[in-house]
Amino acid sequence: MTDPRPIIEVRGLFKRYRRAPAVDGVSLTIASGEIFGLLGPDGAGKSTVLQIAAGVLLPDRGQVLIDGIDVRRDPEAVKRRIGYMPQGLGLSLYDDLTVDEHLRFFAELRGIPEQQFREHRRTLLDIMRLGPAAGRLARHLSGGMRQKLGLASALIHLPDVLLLDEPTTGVDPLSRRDFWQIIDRLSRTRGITVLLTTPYLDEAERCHRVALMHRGRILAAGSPDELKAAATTVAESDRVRIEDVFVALMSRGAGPADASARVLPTPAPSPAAVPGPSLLAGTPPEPAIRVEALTKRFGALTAVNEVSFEVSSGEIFGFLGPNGAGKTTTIKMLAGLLRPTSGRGWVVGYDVSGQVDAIKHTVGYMSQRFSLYGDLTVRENLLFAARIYGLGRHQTLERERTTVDAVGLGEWRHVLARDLPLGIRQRLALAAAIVHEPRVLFLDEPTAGVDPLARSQFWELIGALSHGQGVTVLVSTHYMDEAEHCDRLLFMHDGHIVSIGRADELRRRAVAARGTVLEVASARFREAAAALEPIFPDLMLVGRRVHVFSRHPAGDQRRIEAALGAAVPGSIREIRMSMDDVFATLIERHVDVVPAGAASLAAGTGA
Amino acid sequence: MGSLRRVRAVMHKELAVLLRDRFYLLMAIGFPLVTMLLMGYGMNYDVRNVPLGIADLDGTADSRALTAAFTASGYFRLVTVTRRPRTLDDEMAAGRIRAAIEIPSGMARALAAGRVAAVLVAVDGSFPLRADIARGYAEAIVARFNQDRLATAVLRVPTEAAVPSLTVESRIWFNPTLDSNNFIVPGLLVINLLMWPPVLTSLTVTREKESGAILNVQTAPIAGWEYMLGKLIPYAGISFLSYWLLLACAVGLFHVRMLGSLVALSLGALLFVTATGAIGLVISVLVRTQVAALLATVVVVMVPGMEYSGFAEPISTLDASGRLMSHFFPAADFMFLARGVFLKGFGLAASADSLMRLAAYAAAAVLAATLAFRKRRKR
Repeated sequence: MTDPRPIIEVRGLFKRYRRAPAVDGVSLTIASGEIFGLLGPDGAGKSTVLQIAAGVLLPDRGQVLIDGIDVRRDPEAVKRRIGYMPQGLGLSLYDDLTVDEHLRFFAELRGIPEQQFREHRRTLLDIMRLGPAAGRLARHLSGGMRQKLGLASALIHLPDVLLLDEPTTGVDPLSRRDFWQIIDRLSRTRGITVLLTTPYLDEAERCHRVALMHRGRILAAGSPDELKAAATTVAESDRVRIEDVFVALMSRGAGPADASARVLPTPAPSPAAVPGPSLLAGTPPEPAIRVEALTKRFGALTAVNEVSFEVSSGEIFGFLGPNGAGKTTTIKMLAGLLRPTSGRGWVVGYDVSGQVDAIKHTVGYMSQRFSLYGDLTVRENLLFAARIYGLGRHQTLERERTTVDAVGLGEWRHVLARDLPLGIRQRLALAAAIVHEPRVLFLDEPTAGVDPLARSQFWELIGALSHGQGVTVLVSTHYMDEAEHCDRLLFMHDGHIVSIGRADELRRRAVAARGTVLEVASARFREAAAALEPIFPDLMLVGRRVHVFSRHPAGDQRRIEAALGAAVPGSIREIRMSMDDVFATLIERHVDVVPAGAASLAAGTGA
Repeated sequence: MGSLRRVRAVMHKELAVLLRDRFYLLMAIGFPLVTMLLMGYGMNYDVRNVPLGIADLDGTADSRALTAAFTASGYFRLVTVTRRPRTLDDEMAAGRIRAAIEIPSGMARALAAGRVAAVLVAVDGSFPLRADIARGYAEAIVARFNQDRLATAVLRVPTEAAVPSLTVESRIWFNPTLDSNNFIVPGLLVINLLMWPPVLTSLTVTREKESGAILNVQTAPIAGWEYMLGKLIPYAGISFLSYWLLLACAVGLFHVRMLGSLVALSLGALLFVTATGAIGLVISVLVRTQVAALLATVVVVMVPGMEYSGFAEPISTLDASGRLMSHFFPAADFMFLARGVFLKGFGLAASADSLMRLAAYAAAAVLAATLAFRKRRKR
């Protein structure tokens, strides 16, 4: 169905904001029917490209053609053909409007006739499985539902081209899976072209082709397989992740700032830096963090619902979950910033409800948002952080020096915080959180939006702090692939704990519940999916591959071969279940509900 | 036809948001009423019950009669009577009295002997306007006192030499009781309708800019004027509703009599809130954040509005540049109209000029908002 006709052409695009170039010479050609991903960290220029293509931002140079129409010359004509979904998990929705009112509003904005609106509405509510929530106010929708409503709103006129700005950021794994199924379905049944941006590099696999963006430039473009093959030797291209490709490309074309970022001293556990007296001399008998039925309610909303767990000293404990799962609220309660509604918690033996002052001296906390002062230099920020913890004059200077060295901020020391690249800024935030030598460190989504190289460096730092110096680290993230960096994981969803354990244990549990993953690779992947759908109704089309869950891999492999026959040649192999799927599977088992719409989705609707 | 649908779509959405967001509703309806009440009760230029201290160094029937003349007037309230003038200085400094009268010893004797006696009247000048009025009252009371004395003297000694004298009989038009409420409350009505509609509208577009919802509109084939009109109509509408509440408050609570045409006033109010609402939209389109929008509204609308609307001082007393400034804002015209309708009994014919000008302001402001709105940003 893929038509080689280019439908989106981006030619030599430049866009400069006040300080730096946001888009620095980007050219792309996207064929009709393609799912094309623009991948990269925050500030790479992804959204800028999308907004220029949508006709809401004027480029400095270059042009974008959509279906042959120059967006610069005739933006209004383009707007009739495209659907555009802004960034921010349905932030751009209107909290006080219902689902139906949204659809009607967008339809009326676009002047869709009543009859057609009704048809589209039915189709979209069906695809998105939003039918039962049609009368609900947007403010009462979950993150995943908001994202779907945003998508439905952008699709109300059933456009040929869909521009989606970070549609999956912070969305829970179930909703993310739904999202990709919807996109796949739209691509298969309507031949729609999708250009989307995402900071999750592992989502490259979901796209037909991708472009890796960094600092306004495209590092490389092509199908995920092509990129991997080009970046590595043939033998290992199977195990390579797009993330590795990205890092390799980044360091190859690195500017001076990158070069300096790469030199990262491994902090040696110098005696001066060892926090607390007792840590290295014999592990304390009690766990560093103990939580019993901790609960936090905000009015009618239960943000954290009877959560219990333990973290031992020196462990890296990962909190994984989508936005709104309750990660931040839990961390804030443990750091003594929020009073629990009920339940109890102890951090290094101190009660989180009563001994808040003691806790604040014992823990370091790095908040989700950058909470330092942009108008102070790195050094000034750290000195300030040390002083508010009441460190003496001598000690303050000494700690500033050691932390700067420990996190590798040496050459940024006299730079204003607001001028730091995002990855370095996060490192500064970490430095400020450890300047008073805490024994427990709470990091709330420290790597959100950071480029992959800076991210892996950040994780190295955390590893050094924890395994080198015995600091207990509780870190939250919504990047599922970061699970591998943690000693143990806690999956959170809707305020509940879904599962706790080591990454491999969780994966084993998920495989036991749902089966292993068989991947079918075929050049004619759409036909393959169609042929296999009757046998595996819950199959997933992941980019150009088909994934099925199998309890009996050997038998299923034969059935797949038989179903595909000679008409659709392809290769079959067993692959490791992705953390996203592990989480999704465990949530489903936890919630104990098979998604009601799965069957109807597969059976097909309207359109 | 398509335009109408799009304007209606934006209107419906705005209205739903406005009616379902309690804070917005409070801001649209509650805040103007509260402002009206606070300012209406707080701002009173009538001078009554001025705390008074008297140093009676004379201590005669005459001095007591003069004291009585002051206390009986209702304009002064006797706080201190003393024999030491210094006490009054202290009282004045402490703010316990605002006016002091020193009756010199020997006053009665001097008067009986047919000589002139001087009474010292001192008034606290911290509030010049009040001081001036209080001094006027004091002088009037003394004059009255003299007159009475003269009259009794003439009665006692009937001669042919009675001198006919000229008296002034003044009439205050339009506000015969010189009740400052009649002047202030219509002014407050104007000030409220000047202030709140642009506060509401200046937040609407910036709110969408902050959330990113503006992109929904920018990526849809809707014209700038359609979006602006769809935004303006609900807010002008709710502000017009607020006008009726303020009017009810003026008449019901502050007992301001309305002598002129309700139709003229209401028409004026509708045009006025359209104009001020549109000014808020211009601000909202130009700035990025809600905070900036609020500050800009204060600086661009409220401050000049208070100063150049004729609320506190008549436009005619402003200097040339002030008068010029006043023409940039529709407030002066509506102020003239509102006071005219309330106090002078303006009918439609008398209001026609002001109404025309308000309509022109409204049209210009809507046009400005439309022209300022861009569907494609430069940065």
